[in-house]
Amino acid sequence: MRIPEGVYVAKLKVRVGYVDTDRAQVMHHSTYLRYLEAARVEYLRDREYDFRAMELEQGLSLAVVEANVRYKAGARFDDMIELQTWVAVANRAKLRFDTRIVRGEEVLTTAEITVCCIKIPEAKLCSMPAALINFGSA
Amino acid sequence: MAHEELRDALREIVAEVAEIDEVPDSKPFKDLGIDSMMAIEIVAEVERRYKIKIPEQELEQIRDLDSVVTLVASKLGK
Repeated sequence: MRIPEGVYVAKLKVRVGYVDTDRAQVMHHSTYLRYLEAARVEYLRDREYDFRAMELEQGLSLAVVEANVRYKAGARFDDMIELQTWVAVANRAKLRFDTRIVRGEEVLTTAEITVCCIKIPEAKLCSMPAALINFGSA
Repeated sequence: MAHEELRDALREIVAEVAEIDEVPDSKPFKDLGIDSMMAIEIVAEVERRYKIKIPEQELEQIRDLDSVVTLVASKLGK
């Protein structure tokens, strides 16, 4: 997975903790999803989008509807990894965040996570806010 | 664009977005496997194609192809 030209890329560095790993000291596959979520929140923060206000004030949230994760090589305990995240698809129905997880120059994992927008009280799907759709154009 | 022409064009959009071959006029979208996210994708494509705006509160009117045709026709003044 290559980073498309001209997209905004948010970067999140994480030190792999002992608690993140399995008995072989390799990061557990489920842990990647947790860091991918942190990377999406970091992307929004980086772009000065207040996700907390979206939830608390607008009563809207983002729900994952599809997760494709390709594990190429394992991150290990104490590794410093970087999650590079951009918006690959953005429209009224969904956002797709693409992420590359790298250790130095090596790409360990690639992921495509699709989220939709929901109204929190009734957990009902609604249109993606325009400000988020705009992230798809740069 | 005549009403039937519009219907055929919308049928094509629905079939394309939902990746299905047949879109009967009044079969509920949910029976065709079209979930609420696909319905919004259909709306997004319709808005793009016809340069119209379908407000959030009107999304609930969309239940089948007939309802899409009625809604779009009203926006286009047909």
